[in-house]
Amino acid sequence: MKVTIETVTGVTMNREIDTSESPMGIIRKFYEDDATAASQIFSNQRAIDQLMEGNMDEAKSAFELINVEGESIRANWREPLCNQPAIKEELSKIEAEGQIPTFVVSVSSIVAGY
Amino acid sequence: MREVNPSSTMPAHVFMDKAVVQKINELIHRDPYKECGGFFIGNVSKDEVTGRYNVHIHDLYHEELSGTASSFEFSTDYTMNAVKYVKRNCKGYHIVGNIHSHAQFQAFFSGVDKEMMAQSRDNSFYMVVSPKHGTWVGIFKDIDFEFHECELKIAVKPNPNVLFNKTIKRVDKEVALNGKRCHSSSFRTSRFYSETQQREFDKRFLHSITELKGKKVLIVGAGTIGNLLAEYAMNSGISDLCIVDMDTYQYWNLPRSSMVGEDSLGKPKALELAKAVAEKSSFSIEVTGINADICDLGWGFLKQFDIVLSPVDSAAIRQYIDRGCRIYHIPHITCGTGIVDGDFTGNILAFPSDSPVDLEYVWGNGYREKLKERRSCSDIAEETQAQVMGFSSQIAGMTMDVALKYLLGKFKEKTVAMKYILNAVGNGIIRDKAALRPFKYGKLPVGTKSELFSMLDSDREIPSVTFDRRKPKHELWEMLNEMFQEQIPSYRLNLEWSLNIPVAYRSIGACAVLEVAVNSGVDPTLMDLPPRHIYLVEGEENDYLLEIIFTEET
Amino acid sequence: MRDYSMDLAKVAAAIVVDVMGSDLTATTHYSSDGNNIIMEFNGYPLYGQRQKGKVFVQFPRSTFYVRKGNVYFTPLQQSQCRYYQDQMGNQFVHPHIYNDGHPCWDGSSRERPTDFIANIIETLSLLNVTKDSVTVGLCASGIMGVKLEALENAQRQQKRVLESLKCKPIIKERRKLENYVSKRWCNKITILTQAA
Repeated sequence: MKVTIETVTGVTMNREIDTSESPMGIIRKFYEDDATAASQIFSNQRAIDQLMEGNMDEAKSAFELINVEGESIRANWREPLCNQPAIKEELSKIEAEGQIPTFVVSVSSIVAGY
Repeated sequence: MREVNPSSTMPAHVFMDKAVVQKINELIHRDPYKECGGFFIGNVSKDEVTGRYNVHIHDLYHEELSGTASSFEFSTDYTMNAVKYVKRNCKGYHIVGNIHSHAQFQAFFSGVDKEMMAQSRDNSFYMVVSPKHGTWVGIFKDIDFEFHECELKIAVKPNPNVLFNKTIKRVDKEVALNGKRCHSSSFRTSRFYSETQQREFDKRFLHSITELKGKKVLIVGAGTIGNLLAEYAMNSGISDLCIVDMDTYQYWNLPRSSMVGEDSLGKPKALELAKAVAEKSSFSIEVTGINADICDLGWGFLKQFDIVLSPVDSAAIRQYIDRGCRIYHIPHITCGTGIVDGDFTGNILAFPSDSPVDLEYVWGNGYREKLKERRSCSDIAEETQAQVMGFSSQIAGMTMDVALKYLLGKFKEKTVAMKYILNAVGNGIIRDKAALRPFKYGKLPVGTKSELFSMLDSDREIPSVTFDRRKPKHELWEMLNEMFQEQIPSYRLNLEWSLNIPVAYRSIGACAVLEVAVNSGVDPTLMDLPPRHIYLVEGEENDYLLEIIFTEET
Repeated sequence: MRDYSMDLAKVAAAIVVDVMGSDLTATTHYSSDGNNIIMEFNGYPLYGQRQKGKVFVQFPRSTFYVRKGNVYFTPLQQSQCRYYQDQMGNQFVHPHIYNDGHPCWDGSSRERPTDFIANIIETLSLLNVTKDSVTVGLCASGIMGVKLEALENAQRQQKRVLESLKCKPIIKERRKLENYVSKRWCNKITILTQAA
């Protein structure tokens, strides 16, 4: 499915994604295909390294679908998108209107802390 | 006939006795709608070495004669009467010219005047005065019909007993201050007293004059109360006084300015008041007048003083001065009068050097909204002049009394701020109000938010940096980042907190926050800031107080 | 060093582009003295010109900032804001922009980031030019004519902008626009501050 991936500061990138993948898988694949473009999503190199190993700070990171009213629907990083009902429903609505869905994505690393 | 254009390069000196000026005023104001004239009596001489003419005008002969609205004729009879007067009353003098008024017109030499001047072959001084406009012109015609410009000086008879017991040295300066020209006049008056005389003085003061030696006093505001404070400071034996004001004396505020006279009309208040103090002081004194906005001088300017008095007409300026004094731990007394609920009231707020409260706490922070509101003694239209002057004297007297006690260390409660509210006598009694209500402020109540005290840490000294403001601003960022270590791309100078009123509140291009960033180049706004001031620097984690001294050195 | 002021300005510019249509692109940079941020929008159909060009919006750097983990917005005065086109210093063509580029704002409050961002959108799309604004409010400059002539020219330009950039339909309804902008802004700054 054609989507727009948008960073927090508004950089947009068009991608073809597989909704049977989880957000984590989608981003890993994105980085493998085009590291330069994908790195803009990450807060730092450590975040990239951690994600490629399957780790991330899920609370501080975001993979959110923006609906027509501007509201965001937060996705679970580890579940395939097609298995997340709220995401699936909104994607259908957006497709029905002939629009390209936009996901706002930001990946932060896990840091030592308490 | 030769043109009445001065052809000689050597102007003539004209010395006119002061009594003659008074006679001229009597003459021209008797009927200011009609022209009139009089004869000058005096002497004329020519310097043998330089060839310069000197004219001494000793007297004026005039009669109650008027011409028309646009002409006056010196008749033969009038001239003969003048000659007789001279013979009888002015031995050693003769008629040296004449004066006439131009009634409601400007002063100038008309065609008729020129014809009159061409008629006699002698050394003569001619003057035309306009009673309506207050202007005058003067010209000297010598025996060869050459016309000379005149330099007029007024001669005053001195008191011989006090002629040589005082020296006054004057130094005038002009400096660039934040892009504006700033003038100052410094006077050093030295008065010489014998030991016996000195002892007589000491009997009449609570303190000896020498106890105040070296104490520096600043008065901001040379209006009604400023004049009175300067007078009381001068007469108390204050030996180092500075006066700052950015305005000039106008005819409507001169009657309420006790120390200065009409000579000061149109001139900068601070310079004129300083001059008046230097001339009138019975004691040796160093007094400086600075014609500038106190906000342009910066808080750093206050640092040199032992006390600051602010009889100013703006709540914002009071607040500005107070905050600077709190930060530098300088005693500050502010005072003023005004109409409150229809009553003529006065107030004195006295903050010692370690005051636990500031003006904002005592008076509220409505000054920001009322930034443009000014209240001065010239606005009290409901009261008589006597009431305004009398009450102002009371306010000024109390203010100076407290100030002297601070300076002498004689104020009983050293960490208590005081507010005195006074009602003008008469009004107070009529309304059954107390003439004086004092309030004490010993500490800031717990939980009170104070913009100042939340930042001021009495245990820590405020750091200081010096920066050449012609350089790119990122060099200042480097200094701040080195000092505060937040590793952020920009530190902000909060100009509203620092009360940089000319920059933060100006009507065009106001700058409330100045960014000092890692990527900033030269910033011309820095040139508008005072040479030495304390700023609230906002980081991302903390806020800091920092003194910045701007230089223009290479 | 994290430059939050610039990041927040980028977020704001991105929202403008999101609503105005992706044919418009945005970059942001600082003025040379570091005191202001400039949003540069490229691909805008300039008034009276066939080709598309640049529009600049300049505002104080301290408009958006982060302190102790919180995002702050300093409401700005109209004199602190500038709209230019083609190059810096060249007035943006709009009835309510003065010769020196500063806008003539109406009395509505600009207390929130949403208001500021929505106002940029309305200005670039000329949706804030109405019959009342040109007759009662008057024009700040005669660059598009005055009164009803200005309204006609503005409406023509507005149509051109909306069509050529393919702006989102919500742009025409202030309430919906504000809502949308507000949600996008809150969402983005939450992610931004959490990622710190």
